[in-house]
Amino acid sequence: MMLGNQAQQQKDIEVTAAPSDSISDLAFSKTSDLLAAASWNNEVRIWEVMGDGSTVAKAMYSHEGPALVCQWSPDGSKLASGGADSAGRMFDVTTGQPTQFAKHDAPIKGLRWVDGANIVATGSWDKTIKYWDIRQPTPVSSVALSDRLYSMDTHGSLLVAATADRSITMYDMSNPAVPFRTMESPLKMQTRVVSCFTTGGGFAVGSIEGRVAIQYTDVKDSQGNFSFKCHRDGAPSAANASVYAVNAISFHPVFGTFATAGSDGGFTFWDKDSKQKLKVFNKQAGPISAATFNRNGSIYAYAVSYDWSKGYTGASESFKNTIMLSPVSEADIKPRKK
Amino acid sequence: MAKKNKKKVVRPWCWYCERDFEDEKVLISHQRAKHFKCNHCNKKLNTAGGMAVHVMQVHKETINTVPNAMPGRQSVDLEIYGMEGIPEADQIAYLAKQEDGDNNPASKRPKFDGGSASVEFSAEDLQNQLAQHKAMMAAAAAPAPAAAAPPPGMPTPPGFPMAPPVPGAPGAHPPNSGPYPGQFQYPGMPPAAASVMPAAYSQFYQPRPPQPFGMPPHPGMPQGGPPPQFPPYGQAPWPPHGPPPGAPHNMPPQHHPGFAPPRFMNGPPPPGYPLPPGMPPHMPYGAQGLPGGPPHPMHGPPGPMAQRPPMAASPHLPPGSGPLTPTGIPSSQMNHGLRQTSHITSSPDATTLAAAASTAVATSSASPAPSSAPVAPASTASPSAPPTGASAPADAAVNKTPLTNAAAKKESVLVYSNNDVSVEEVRAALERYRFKPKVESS
Repeated sequence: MMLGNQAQQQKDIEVTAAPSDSISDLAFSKTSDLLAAASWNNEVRIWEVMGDGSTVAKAMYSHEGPALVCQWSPDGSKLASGGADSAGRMFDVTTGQPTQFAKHDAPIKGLRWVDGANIVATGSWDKTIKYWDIRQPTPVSSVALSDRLYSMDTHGSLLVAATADRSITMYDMSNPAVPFRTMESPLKMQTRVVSCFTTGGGFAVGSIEGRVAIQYTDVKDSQGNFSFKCHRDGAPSAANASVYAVNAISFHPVFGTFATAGSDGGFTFWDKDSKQKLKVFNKQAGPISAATFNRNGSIYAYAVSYDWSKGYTGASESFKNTIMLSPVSEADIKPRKK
Repeated sequence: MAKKNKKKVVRPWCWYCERDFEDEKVLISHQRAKHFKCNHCNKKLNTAGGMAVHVMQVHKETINTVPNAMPGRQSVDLEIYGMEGIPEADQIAYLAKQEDGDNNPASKRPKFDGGSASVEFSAEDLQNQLAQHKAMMAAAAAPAPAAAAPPPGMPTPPGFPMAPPVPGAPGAHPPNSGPYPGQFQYPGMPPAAASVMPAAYSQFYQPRPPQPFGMPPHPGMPQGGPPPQFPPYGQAPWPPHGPPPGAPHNMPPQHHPGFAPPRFMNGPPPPGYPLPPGMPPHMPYGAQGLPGGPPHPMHGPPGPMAQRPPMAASPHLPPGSGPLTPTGIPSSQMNHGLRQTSHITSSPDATTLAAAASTAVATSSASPAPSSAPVAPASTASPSAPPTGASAPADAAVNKTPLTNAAAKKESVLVYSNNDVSVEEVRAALERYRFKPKVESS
């Protein structure tokens, strides 16, 4: 991407024609410069990000209820999305048509392509994860969870699912119906997001209480597990410090460092190996509800839209939901020596 | 079985700030980062003394207190490293505090001293209890069907013979008292309300296990009968999500005959009795005063009362709820006893319950708001907006707020504090976003 020349200014570019309601998920294709966004106005929109950072709206389709998750297939030919209409829909880029491939009994909150297979895993508030071969109407297999699924991520053959009861279950895709490890979240409050290391070996967990935990999947490596506080206002130990939820954790595809984005509107880059904060960015006008890196980590896309953290009263009809593309300078995201 | 020694090893803790940690390594890195760090150059030293020396030599300044340390623990002279160097006296004091902490107020168990009426609950404790109770109730209420949702039916009894026992009850009517006079209000409750009880009652029981059922062990219990029966009510028989509303109906009848007589026979049980779970004074009220006879009338009062306790956060008494409010928790206790009797007469009316529930929700939205400042309005607002569909999670949100606030020791404000429901679930339940499946014969 040619955004390098803009790196100095930290000028983030706004994506054209952002959805009219909050953005629940963002996804970049792994093979091209297509960006998808799922929104509470039921739409899933797709743009192409050009070399200079500008965006061109390419396609759009709708769910019958708010769209909550989306992800591109590994080969970049299809976009899968899930929503509050309890349906999983697939958009084929070549045909430009959406089709429904999955169905749950409650809204779908997690959706991930299982690497190396033509299979999509969908997790729902109906307390199950179902694996779908996209050509079949019935799931290949269904796994029961201990509670509603809140977040799910995959890397290689690892699938990590976080549920409402603060339990985190790990599955090996060679045996997808059987969890190979179940643990209680290291964080005391509700899990908001889980994200696998892009370098493998573990995942990060974010909660509603401004805290992130780094967990290694292998019990042998559990010495390296740690957690830290983030996305808080005011002096750390002051009374009345506001504590915000961590809405998104995204690992850089190349460096293995990661970014967290919070309900406070801020996003920060971190290095888990040296346990350092790499860069803090200015707070945006509203909560950051979703964020992701592009395929080579040169762009960090984040959506500024209301995440309902303050309930109904915090919602404003006039708030302009935006999706911003931030050029990532290597200096900001590279791992740092302690 | 008396478990003498602490079965758990004490976690390493920091002498300077009394925080505990997973292991010594973490403790040491905490100390280096928080207490032994130079303010000028951020150099992390190994001990307080080392830091003092560094600051003196490099920055030419003297410091005589350890940063981020509790008052009394700021000495630069004591050589503490990890857990080493902690003075014996402080170690003992800390361990003692841990012990106390284990027997936390919520369990009530140890606090119960059989015969003495020394249950003196401060307003704060009551509020905490109320908050916790509400939270538990809400947790129980949320999964339970709507019929069971109405705030736990106040034990009908209030109006009953309870009056006499009440005054006799352990003196703990402190801030909440006034209840006594208020309790007489109960009789005024519409009989229909009584039907609310049974289901509501079941609500009570689910969340309550830690508290109410402290009763059985309670030495003060004069009656042999009730104690054995309590546990079933409180714990085992009640599946976590409450047996379907029908269940409550089932249970009481069985227990009732056995239960009521012993319970109520005692008339005014000795002061100690009523408060087994450590409920505020009102407890005795319910426990004692219920003669087997009057059960019927009981149905009346509970109705409106039922609604009150859960809703009103202790500091705010909804008008007319009078004494009950602060005693939301006790009311549940009372209900327990009452429930038995009420079952004899009639089964709750589902519609009444539902109506009560919605009123409850509406009221609850209003009342807790003032109490817990920063977070409450936010989460309270969301319950008010969604229609009944969301009332269960909303109710949980509202009720959780006081608990979160009461429990949060750091006073930091969690912007989104509902630990049981995610923001998306709250939002997806709203009328505006709710998925309405197309009516297709599929």
